[in-house]
Amino acid sequence: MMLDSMVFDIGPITLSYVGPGAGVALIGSFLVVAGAIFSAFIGLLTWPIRRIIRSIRGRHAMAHAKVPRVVIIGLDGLEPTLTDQFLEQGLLPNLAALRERGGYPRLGTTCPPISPVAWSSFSTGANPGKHNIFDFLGRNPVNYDPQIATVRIREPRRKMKLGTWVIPLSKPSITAERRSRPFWSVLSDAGVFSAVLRVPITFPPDRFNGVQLAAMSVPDLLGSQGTYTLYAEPGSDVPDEDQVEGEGDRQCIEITQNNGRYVSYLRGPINSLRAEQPELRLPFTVTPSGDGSAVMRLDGQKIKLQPMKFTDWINVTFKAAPGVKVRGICRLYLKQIAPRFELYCTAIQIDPNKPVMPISHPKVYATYLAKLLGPYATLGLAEDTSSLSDGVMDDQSFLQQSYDIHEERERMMLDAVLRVPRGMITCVFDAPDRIQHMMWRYIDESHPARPPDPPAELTDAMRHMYQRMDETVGRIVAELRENDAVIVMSDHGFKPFRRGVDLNAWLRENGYLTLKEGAELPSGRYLADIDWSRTKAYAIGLTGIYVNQTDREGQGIVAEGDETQALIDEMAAKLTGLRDDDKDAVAVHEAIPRARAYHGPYAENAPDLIIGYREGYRVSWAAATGRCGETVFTDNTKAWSGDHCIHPDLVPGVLFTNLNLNAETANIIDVAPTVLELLGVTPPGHIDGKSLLWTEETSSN
Amino acid sequence: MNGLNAILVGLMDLMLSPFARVAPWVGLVFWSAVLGVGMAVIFKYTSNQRAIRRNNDRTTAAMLGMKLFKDDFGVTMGFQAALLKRIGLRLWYNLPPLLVMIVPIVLLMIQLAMRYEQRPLALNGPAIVELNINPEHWPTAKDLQPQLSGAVLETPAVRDEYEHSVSWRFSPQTVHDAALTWQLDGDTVVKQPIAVDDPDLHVQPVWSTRPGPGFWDGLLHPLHRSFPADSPVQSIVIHYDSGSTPIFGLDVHWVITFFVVSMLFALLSKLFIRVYY
Repeated sequence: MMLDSMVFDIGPITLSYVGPGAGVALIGSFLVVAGAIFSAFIGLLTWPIRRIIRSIRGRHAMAHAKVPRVVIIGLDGLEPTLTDQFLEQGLLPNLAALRERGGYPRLGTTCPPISPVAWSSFSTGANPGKHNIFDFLGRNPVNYDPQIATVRIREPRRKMKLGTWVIPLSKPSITAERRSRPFWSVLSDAGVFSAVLRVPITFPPDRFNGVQLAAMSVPDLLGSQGTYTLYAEPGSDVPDEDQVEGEGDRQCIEITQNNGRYVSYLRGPINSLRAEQPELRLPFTVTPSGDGSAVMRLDGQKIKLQPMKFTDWINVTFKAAPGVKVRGICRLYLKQIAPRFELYCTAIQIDPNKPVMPISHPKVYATYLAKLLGPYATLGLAEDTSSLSDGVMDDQSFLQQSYDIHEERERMMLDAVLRVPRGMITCVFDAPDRIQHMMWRYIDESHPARPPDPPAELTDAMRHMYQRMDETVGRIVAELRENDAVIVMSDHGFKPFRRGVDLNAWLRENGYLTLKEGAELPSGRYLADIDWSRTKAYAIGLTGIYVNQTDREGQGIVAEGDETQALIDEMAAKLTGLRDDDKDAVAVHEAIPRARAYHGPYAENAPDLIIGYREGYRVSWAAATGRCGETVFTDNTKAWSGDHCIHPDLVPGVLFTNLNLNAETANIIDVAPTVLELLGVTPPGHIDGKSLLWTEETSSN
Repeated sequence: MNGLNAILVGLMDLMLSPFARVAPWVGLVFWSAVLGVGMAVIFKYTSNQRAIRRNNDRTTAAMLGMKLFKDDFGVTMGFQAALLKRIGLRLWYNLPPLLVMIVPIVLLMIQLAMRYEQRPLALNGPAIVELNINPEHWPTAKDLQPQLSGAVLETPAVRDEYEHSVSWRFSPQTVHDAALTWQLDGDTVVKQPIAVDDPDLHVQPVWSTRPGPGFWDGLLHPLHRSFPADSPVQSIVIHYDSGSTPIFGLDVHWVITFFVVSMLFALLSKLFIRVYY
């Protein structure tokens, strides 16, 4: 009938058609149908052959599997004590059901208990000395420059200059710092298919038999780990970009009204195709509508900005050269128009429809998800904690953003459950971690960052979050089969972060660190004001202390070997049990020498001394960025009020499963060998963990 | 209908007048391009663009899904089913703009066909004219002969008793104002102009049929006034040769040119009007 409508026979006209839409639809549909039928035919024809090839290549994949499918739901940072409390109150029925079917032990975590380290140990089944991830932030020992500890992104090696243009002759290189092999690669060798969604430290993505969407370490278009923008009229209360200490980056752009509208621009990446490397910009205008809303015109789009509401994801395209475009996505939030205009923009993230760098394996998997589910957050740390810490965003909008991202991820996970009937599926949900970081002050009445009389929806935010995670587990488990193995786990627990410990200030007080003459306190970021010729040890990052060692550091003064070991032992003795006299409490549970914490080929890249804090303490914001403050202990008054970077024994994670496991002393490194055994694959030698499945030996014991 | 046809013919004459003295394909390509963009705009505003975009995305997802999850036969078949559903939806979403555009585009196509489908008679070349007579008047049309102006008759009448038609072969002798005239039943005069190739013009309206009564006949044969129902002559057909619109030496049917050019420009218009098909 459609065809009849499309083509007419009118007198001498033998062929006609009605419009390009119908034409494109008809031709396109015809091609797609033809292609689909053809591929279905080929698929049917070749399926037995592919099956044979796969079983030869995969050495009879899953022939020895105990279950058809293992599904791992990672709830980053789910705290056992809170989980117990909410289970007792009957608020987590789905987790309770899993506990009844299988078990609910504590899950030991890594040293230090932070996500990049813990999830890398989850992936590899090995201690950090074998996978080389020890912190978010490291340093280049040669020049003490800070560096992201998880990935290296380098510009193209060869370039050609043509006038004002610079033509790259090779690709930029993106190298993972994580070593060893994740268990999905081991499964892949055995022909087992895996879907790995948003597991931290999977950028650049691994190559294996399966699909993967990268997570933590995926940068935004500026190349940072997340830079939000605040557009504000003069007189607005904006954070000082140079002074603020926080977990991310921010930029504030002053905006003024002109002829009834606001004119500004989105800041894009540096245009590396031009010799002068200008910043790419995308201009926009915002016209207030009079009812509190406004209309933005950006990149050919007309976007309605509702007050105090996030927009959907907006596609933006920066033009670097004719035919060369850099595509991103962002969300906007109109804070207010009066008395002063303030507009928030999330970090401009890589557009998953057309990613400018590989964020998935295979590369089209990111596109597949975007086409199927719509645009989604691609940034490694997508929930914008910085803007809440800076006071730019409020708690409710932060929660909204976090749950929006959570829902995106849940839809991805449910799709994977539908598409992968045999093999392994895992997805890590970050919302528990981010929300506990930012909302802990509302359940901790003694927290310095707790506002007076917080509203009930905020004091209930944590309980609400645990319930939402339980609902997510329920929805996923409902789609599984009876004989699928389910593991719900967290990489660590959570505790309050009330007091910061400035390790550099402690080192300075104890004569291990000296600042340059005339340096003010607090000193400059990233170890800027340190007199290396008189400094024996220094701190940067969340984890611990590095010795300024000769033959390793660029300006080291402590000899390798006995002198270094003596210094480490001396500092460890002093730091273990370090007291916070103002609060009459012990701040440091244990300072752990590297040699005791790690073993493996990369152990020497770790800090020399890892600090295991007591509950309520953590490294201070200043020391984490390589500053040295005036005092060792300071109150943490930031919204980032919960943390887990303390002694690993004090902050285990949780493990729920429908399996009957031998898991009294379960650790996160045991998950990988357990999954391998469940799917009938022998764990390789590098794995430190042990399978949690019962054996004859463990059963008799 | 005759009035509407007169307006449309006049409008199209006006549109093609700038191209009267250049190669025929120039005007065809120009207006195909313009109409392609115009149809894209109409399509944009008469279709559910959000739904079309979403459907296109999901179609792509189904195709990518087949590639990504090809190892499992059941999953692959699931994507095949999803693909067929998406194709059905795609056609469904195209229905509203199709309904909106169907009438104007058909009228337009008729107008273009009138200029490009057939070519005028060559000067002194032979041609056949056929009169279809109302059966009631067939007995009185026994000795019917045309009066020729600017043309000569080459054969006597050939009568088809079964179809009630009479045919003659003739050849035009002048470029302008050539015509055939018949007189039936004493007082009914029918005059039919003849389109003869004018070397000064590259595009001339030509239509073989002068239709009888009826809405569709009138609509589909717009160049000449249609005969009323009680007319002794029901229709006149002059057999013109097929037209040709060569482009760069290739003889491409004008519909193909129109189809390709308008599609191309409709697709190109995506670059500046954000339309999804």
